[in-house]
Amino acid sequence: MATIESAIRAMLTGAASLSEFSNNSITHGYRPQDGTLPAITFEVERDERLTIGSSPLRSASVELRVIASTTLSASEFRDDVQSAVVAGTHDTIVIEAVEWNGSRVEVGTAGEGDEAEPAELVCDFTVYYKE
Amino acid sequence: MAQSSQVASLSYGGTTIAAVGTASISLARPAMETTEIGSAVQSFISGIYGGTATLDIFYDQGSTGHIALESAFTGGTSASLVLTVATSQTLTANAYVTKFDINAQAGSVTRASIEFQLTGSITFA
Repeated sequence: MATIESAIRAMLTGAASLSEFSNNSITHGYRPQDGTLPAITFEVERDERLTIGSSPLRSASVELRVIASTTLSASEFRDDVQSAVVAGTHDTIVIEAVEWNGSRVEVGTAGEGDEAEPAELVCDFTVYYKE
Repeated sequence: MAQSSQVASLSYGGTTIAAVGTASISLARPAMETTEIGSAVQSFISGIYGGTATLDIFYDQGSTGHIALESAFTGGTSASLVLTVATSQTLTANAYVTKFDINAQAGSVTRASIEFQLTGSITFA
């Protein structure tokens, strides 16, 4: 059964602007330990019903992270992500509208071996959808 | 028994309004005072009743029901307003659209708030 998480993943993996991300590098919640960069992870932070009736409009707040080796390479994906998150039917779920709330870059941690952390572009958006 | 709003709906002029966030109907029957001079206590008789309704919607000019609300506002015509709470549980009244507020705000989808003045009898069924 389709969920808002599967719909968002379908939206991202189907987006032409994110074609350089392989299917396996777009994941919900976590990044595979042996995955390559750049990669995308996302989380649905809040999912709520907005309207009365048997087929309610719902909204979900999504935090998406583009993980890359440098801050510049991470930030270069901002427009690509914004182009990818659009209304439409994804995995049978109808996303009626997307509100882009903003983005920020989180600087990676320099270090050796396991201490080093990549840079991340954090994007926040809200999707309005019907199941 | 409580009723889930998932089974509720609101129609105007026979058209079910889509994307309703909140439907509120406020009914009032203000009492009329009949206190006489020399009386130490107030007295009242039942007044006449009336009401208003408010609808908050996720506004879409492509929606048939939303178009009907626009037409009722610009035309000044009344139509039947029916709030269905659950199967066979309704409130029906004739109503005019008296206010149509549209709110587009950054970071949120466009919404509208519509106010109705109920006129004539109100039926609970």
